[in-house]
Formats: sequence, structure tokens, C-alpha cells
Amino acid sequence: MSAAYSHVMCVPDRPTATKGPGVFAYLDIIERLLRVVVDDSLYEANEQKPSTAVIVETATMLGRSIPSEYMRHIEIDPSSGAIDITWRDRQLGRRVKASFGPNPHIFALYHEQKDRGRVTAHELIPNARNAELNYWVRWCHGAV
Amino acid sequence: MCDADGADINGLVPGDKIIYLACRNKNYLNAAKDAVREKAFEKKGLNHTDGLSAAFSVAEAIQYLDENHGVIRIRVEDITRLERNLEVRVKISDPAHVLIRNLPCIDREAEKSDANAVAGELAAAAEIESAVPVPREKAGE
Repeated sequence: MSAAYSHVMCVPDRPTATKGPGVFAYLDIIERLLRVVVDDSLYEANEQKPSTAVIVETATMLGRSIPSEYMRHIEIDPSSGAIDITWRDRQLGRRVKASFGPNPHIFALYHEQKDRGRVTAHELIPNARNAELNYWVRWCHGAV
Repeated sequence: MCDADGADINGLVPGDKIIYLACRNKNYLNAAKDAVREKAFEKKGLNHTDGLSAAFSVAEAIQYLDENHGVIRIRVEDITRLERNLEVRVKISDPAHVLIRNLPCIDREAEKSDANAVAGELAAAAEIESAVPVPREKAGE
């Protein structure tokens, strides 16, 4: 693993680390994010990699906001210092994308509805809250 | 849209033409390698000042890349029929290459939502030409 991120797994003082099942979910998310972030084939020339703070905050927000059943098939993309997490349901024609970073304390939330390949509704929430992330991910999968 | 005016552009490409885009990034295709992802059509204003590059053949699409992660294709009329004011034009300096113009920029706040939507529609219309890297020496075969 890249030396730049080797310390990310050691996060002793975060609130989520004190709760039993939360610890493993959090570490699982961190591991999945790191596996992507260190993959050089996912970057274009000179593209900025996400900072450690972005990785940690992304994992924290996902751990707090998203039930584990909605974490199984996420798509993870590093993108110019940010981390994009995408949920999609092809049958429903829905996609939700959360972009965490480069400012680690802000994430943007995009959701769209498609019908036969055409986007019929879409919205970007530039400074989203955890409750909105939870709602729109559940919407994506037809749970609201 | 942030495409440069007076750019290296020529006439419109006919709708029945197919154009090819190299996968510069492993995530242009989904994990199962059976669908094109939106990332392939996300235009960044800083990087793509004239538009998104494509070419008339696989060989030309990968010509200037040290490595690629496959190639995708899309018919020009599938781009223009979206009714989003998109154009596909030939480059003056290199007639083997084209530019998809008037795409909203994914890295501009005011255009981000539209950029995501258009990228989604283009990805849905595109197909995979090669899901594996195409060697430059074999591309012309």
C-alpha cells in the first residue's frame, strides 16, 4: 500500500471506532476506498489524488448514513482530489452520486431518474447533509 | 459550456458516422465490462478546452496514448438526437479526430448537474468496442 496512506487504517479516536459493529463496517469502507485510491490506472495524467482527510471523512459519512445493504454494490471513483461514490438501480433507471472532497467536510449529492436512456429529472445538491444522502440512496433502490 | 471559441474545428460530422473514444481510465467501463460508465463522457473544462476528443477509428482513438483500458464507440446521431445542442466536428489540424462540443463541464459548479445528466445519456447510448486494452500496433488490423 502506498506509504502516503499507510496511516489511514489507524484512527483510534473517532467516535465510530468505539462502537462494536460500526468499527468493522468503518474499516471495511476504508479498505475499499484505499484499494481504489492507490490504483494508478484510475487517474489521468497529473490528476490529483484524494487526501487522507477526504478518505477518512468519506468513510465516516458513509458509515453513519448508509445501511450496509446499500454499500455492497457501490462504485468508487477518485476524481481530481475527490471521491465519487455511485449507487444505481438499472431496473428503476436511477443513479445517485455523492462527491466527497476535495474539501473533506463537504460533499455534493447528485440524483437522476432515467427513462429509456433519457434523463427525465436530475438535481445536484452542492452542500448535502447526511440525511439527504440516506434518503436519496434509499430512493435509488426504491425504498422510499 | 466552456469550449473555446475559434478553436481547431471544422465541419459537422454526419449522423451516420461512428466515432471511437479511448478509455483513458479503467473506470470508463463497469466492473463486469458490459456497460459504458458516465465517466467516459465527463468533460473537464480545464483539460478539454475544445471539447471531448474522439476519432474515426480505433487506431486513431488510441494513437496518442501511452496506454488505454479499452475503446468505446458511439454513433454521431445518438449524440445529436439528445437535443442538448451537442455537436460533433472534425478537427482542422487532424481530420482523423473529432470533437464533441457543447458538453457542460463537470468541474464547473453551475454546469455540474447538467454535465452529470448528459454524461449519463451518452454512456447509455455508447457501446463497448473493446473491453481490454488495445495495443497500438494491432489497432489497425
